[in-house]
Amino acid sequence: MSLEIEHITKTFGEFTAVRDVSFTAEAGQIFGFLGTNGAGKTTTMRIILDILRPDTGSVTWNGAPNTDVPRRLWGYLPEERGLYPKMVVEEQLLFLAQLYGASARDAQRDLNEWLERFNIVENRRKRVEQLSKGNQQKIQFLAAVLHDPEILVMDEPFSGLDPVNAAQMIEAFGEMRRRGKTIIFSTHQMEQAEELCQAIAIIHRGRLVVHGDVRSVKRSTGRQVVRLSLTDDADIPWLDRLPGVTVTKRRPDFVEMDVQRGSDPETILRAALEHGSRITRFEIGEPSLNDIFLASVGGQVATDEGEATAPRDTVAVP
Amino acid sequence: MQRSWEKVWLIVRREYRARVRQRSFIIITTLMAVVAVLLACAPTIVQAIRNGRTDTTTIAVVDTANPAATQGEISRLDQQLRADGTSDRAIALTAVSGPVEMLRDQVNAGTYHGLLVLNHDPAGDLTFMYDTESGTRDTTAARIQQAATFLSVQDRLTRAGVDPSRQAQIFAPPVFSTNATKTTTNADRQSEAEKITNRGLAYILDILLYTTIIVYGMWIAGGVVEEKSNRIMEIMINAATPTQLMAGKILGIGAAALTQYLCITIPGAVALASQGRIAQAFLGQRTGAAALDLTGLSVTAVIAFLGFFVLGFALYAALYAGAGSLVSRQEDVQQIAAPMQMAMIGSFFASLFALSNPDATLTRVLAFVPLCSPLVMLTRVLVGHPAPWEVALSVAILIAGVAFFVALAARIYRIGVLLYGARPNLRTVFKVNHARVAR
Repeated sequence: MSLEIEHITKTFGEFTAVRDVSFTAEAGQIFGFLGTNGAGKTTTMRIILDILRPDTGSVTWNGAPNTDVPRRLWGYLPEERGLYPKMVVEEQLLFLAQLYGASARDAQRDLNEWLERFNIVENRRKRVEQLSKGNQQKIQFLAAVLHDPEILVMDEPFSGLDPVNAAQMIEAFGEMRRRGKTIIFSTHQMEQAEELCQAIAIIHRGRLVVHGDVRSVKRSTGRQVVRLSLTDDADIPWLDRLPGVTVTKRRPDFVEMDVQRGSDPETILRAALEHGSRITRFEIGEPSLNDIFLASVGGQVATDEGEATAPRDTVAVP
Repeated sequence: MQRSWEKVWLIVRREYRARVRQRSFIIITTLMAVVAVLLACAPTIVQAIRNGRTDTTTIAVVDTANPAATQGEISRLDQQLRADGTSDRAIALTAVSGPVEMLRDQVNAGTYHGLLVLNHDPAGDLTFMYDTESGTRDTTAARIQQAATFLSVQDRLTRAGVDPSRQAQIFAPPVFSTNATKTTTNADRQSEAEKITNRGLAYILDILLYTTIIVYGMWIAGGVVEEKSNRIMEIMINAATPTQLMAGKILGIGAAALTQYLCITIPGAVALASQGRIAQAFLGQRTGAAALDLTGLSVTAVIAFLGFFVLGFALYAALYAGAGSLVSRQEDVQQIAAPMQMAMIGSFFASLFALSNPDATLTRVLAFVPLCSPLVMLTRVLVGHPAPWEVALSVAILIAGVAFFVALAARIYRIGVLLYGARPNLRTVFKVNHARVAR
């Protein structure tokens, strides 16, 4: 059970939007699709949904070509948000669910459930234009899930959400995962990707640069990361003098460093104690998705640490 | 598995409800229906207003040369006024006496509408002086002058020794008859009358079809842009195909247009057809204005009108839909609809030509050209003699045209997804048309 994207290429005139992209999203997974603006995320998603046809390559769900998959199995939250502004919420959602092929009764039952989960029962009979932006986003999400699809394709579902609404959206993702749905979503907000995804793909200028499940992607970088913070010293300058340690970030809340394979991270802990500092954080871990992302897209995204020098090598994950 | 028509039906229902429930729709429809009924009742209303002005015009009459004769002169003037066939305003003559100056003051004061002073000139002929407040020559003055002329002639005849009883004989109307030089049968006369009725009917139906398409075509074009300007388009084409969407739009908006159309025309037609009864009920009399004569409306005419109405509307709806799918914003709809309006104006002129030359070669050709065939063939069916195969071919071409343009509109719409914002010109449409676009 999986969604397989195999060697898809799509050109618009001179411009190649997607070049030979292949990846697999296992059924029941939350799959993060990461990339900068214009990297080819939306085009890939439209191809997955059979809104666009690729020049070459194929998309299959459980072995069946996506063109043969009933529309009912697909849920789509497009990047361009939009609903009929003058239509009443309930009527609109039932219309869309039925248009996808759901029965009116099932859709009505699910609608009641979701409105309660999102705490927006009182908006049922309001027109969409009367709702706040956050609530409109929730309705937009419901428009993608109310017909009970198997595969949810969401283009930037977290953009424009405040922290409270983002938290509700993350909860809704969890609910869909409990129901065994497969979710593919694009984002450039790495915290959400880190929190939600079992697997990711990073696309850059139409090419896939990294893909695989999150843990193996992180491990494959070969980096060992230590995060340290001390009460009396924010910068911890002596770290620069330790052998085998390269400081990668100095943030107000911690200093992050790469530790060479083979050297023991505990030497850092010992050094800190020798300096007589109080340790509030010592963490041995893996690089964040954000770092992996920046490394793989060549660090062309503006960052506070100026990591534009990071290697551009493609990280291949078996 | 859900069938295609079920999706179309869902879209039709949504489009229909979205329009019919709009407050502006309800208000405009109600207003237009009221206007239609008022227009249909116009003759009766005018009559009622006239009847309301039943106050008679009172004219004071005095014979300054012979006051004693005044009463007799009034009765002869009266007789003439009653016989002149003008009935809209009664004129009452009343004998007065006294100095002319004083009587004039009374006219000024409004006691009388006018003052008629009779006198005799030295030759003995009657003279008349008619005074009103403003001195304008209105219909009342003209009628009084006519009666006065008659009175004067009677007076001259009497003075010439012609006995008043013989005068009636003199003024009796002569025998006067109208004849046709060509012998005609009853049937001829009937078909001639029918022809005139049919021409009038064809003209009215052409105008109806023309207005309907021009007005409601814009609804369709605007409705198609809706998904793009609402940005719900991507969801819609993920759930349904563009062809289903187009068909649903055209049928749904068409049904809403038809609803408004019927809500306006049915009350109007009923009011028009029952003018006689309404007039009878309110005025106690039938109006002179005839109710619409529907006897010329044969079964063929009704079927032809309904058939070409539906097909013509569908064809133009598909064109308007295609035009609408070329733009992304409501503001651009008016501009993009111009070619259809030109085509419609062109076909209206073609139908005017067909009206006077229903079976000319040009007309016969135009009756097959999809854009103007609805109007031209309808005209031909009503006033000309098209062969059955001609009608069948024209209808077949129309149906094919509807299918073709709906498919084209759907295709352009689908391409519109890729060309968000930018207004595609025809070249980009054909260019992208070759690109691979799903479903």
